[in-house]
Amino acid sequence: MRRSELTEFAVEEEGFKLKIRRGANGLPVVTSSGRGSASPFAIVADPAVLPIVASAAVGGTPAPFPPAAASAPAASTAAPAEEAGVAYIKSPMVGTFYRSPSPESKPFVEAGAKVAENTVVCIIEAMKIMNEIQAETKGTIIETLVESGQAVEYGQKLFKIKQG
Amino acid sequence: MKTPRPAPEVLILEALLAAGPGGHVSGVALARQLDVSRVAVWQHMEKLRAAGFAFEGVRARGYRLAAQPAALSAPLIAAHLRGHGRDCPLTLLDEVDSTNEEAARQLAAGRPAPFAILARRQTQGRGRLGRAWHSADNGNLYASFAFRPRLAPVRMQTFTLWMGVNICELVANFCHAAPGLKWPNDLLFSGRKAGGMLTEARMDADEIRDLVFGLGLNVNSPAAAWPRELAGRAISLAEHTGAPLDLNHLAAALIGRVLLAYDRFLDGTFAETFADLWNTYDVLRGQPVTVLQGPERVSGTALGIDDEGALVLRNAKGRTHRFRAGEVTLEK
Repeated sequence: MRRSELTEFAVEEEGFKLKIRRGANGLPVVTSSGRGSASPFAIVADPAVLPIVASAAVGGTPAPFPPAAASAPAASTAAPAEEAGVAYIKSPMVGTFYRSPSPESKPFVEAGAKVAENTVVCIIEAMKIMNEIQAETKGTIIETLVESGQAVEYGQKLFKIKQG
Repeated sequence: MKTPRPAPEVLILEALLAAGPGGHVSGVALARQLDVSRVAVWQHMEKLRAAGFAFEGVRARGYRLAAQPAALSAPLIAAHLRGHGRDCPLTLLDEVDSTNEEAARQLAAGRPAPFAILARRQTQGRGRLGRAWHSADNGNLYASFAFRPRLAPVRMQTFTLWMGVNICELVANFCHAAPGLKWPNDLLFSGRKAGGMLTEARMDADEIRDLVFGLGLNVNSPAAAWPRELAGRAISLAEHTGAPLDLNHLAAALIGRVLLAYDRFLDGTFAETFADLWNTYDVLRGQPVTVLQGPERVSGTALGIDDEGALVLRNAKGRTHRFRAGEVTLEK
């Protein structure tokens, strides 16, 4: 969203409502409502994630590539919702969360760690690719919200972070 | 792709390779191709001799490539690549911690992609979740390929699997023996590991900015060279086929194949053949397997993969499970 002039965009579809607007700090703010699904945002904004939920039959019709335009601007960081200056690093994809590069090594970050935008905070294994996830915001890690090895959903909160 | 003029050594080797095993190329022709004097050609050939090449000169006919080094040689790989009509910036290192790490570092430093990093030896060769990959200087390949796809991660879901079938096709063509693929990233011969793949990515907001595809391929290592913990579990292509392979030619063919596979993945044409190829090489399909994913442990019959590359399993009660990641054990 930062790359475009858009300040707000909304999607409404079958009981889902998604609204993304640019917050006062320039970061995207996402609001959504709908059925109590874990990630309505993912389903609305990114149809390619849908087959994980919906694909039941093996050898059915192959899913075509999702349109490249289905980008998800608010994936990594969301603006503060509760306390001022507190934000969450969210999962940009469905996958498996790892706190460290190998089970024996130290976590990338722990509570109290200062991070910059490009600090690697975790790995998410998805689509057989190990994805290094960066903080995308400057601040101090308050809490890790997910256990290593746990499956994470699109948009799921991974770390609580105090910005600044 | 903008390519700088190749080194004279590469052009000499390319001309001699093109002439075939019994063919000769005259010094005059080489000098003309390189646009240098015959003395300069001779000097470049001296350099190649020092690197393990041998040239046989026959009066009135010219030079023939009489011997080439068995170990990896950057100019020889480049000459083979040009012979296949491909060009790819290539760095060959004597030793590195991990070719994937080096490729990631060079991407981060801004080196234009694609490029390939090869090493004769890795000190911290690794697979998924930081597991060690035996990486001695023993005639095997350790290679990583760096790309900047600028794609949403969801577009990459079958990337590693697609690269896997391409490596299988390459190996099958090269040594006339088809390996098997064990989901998600292992190449097997007779149930033993012949190769492993590791794809790593760096995200930039919602896109994959840096992508590194790494491959460890056991090519020429003798059976006796494996450390005890790998004996009986690892195998090289040479061990399987009974004859050593031309490592440099294979490395060049690999680079060409990976670049082509990457292009087909990005333009979407891979989808025409991917499912069939996967089924050709899938060693798990129809087999009893156990999958471990975090705390979850499920046994059943492997049914293949779904559209997203997830492993599909049916348990004894007929329930279908899908795994996006996990450890698979083939039950004997």
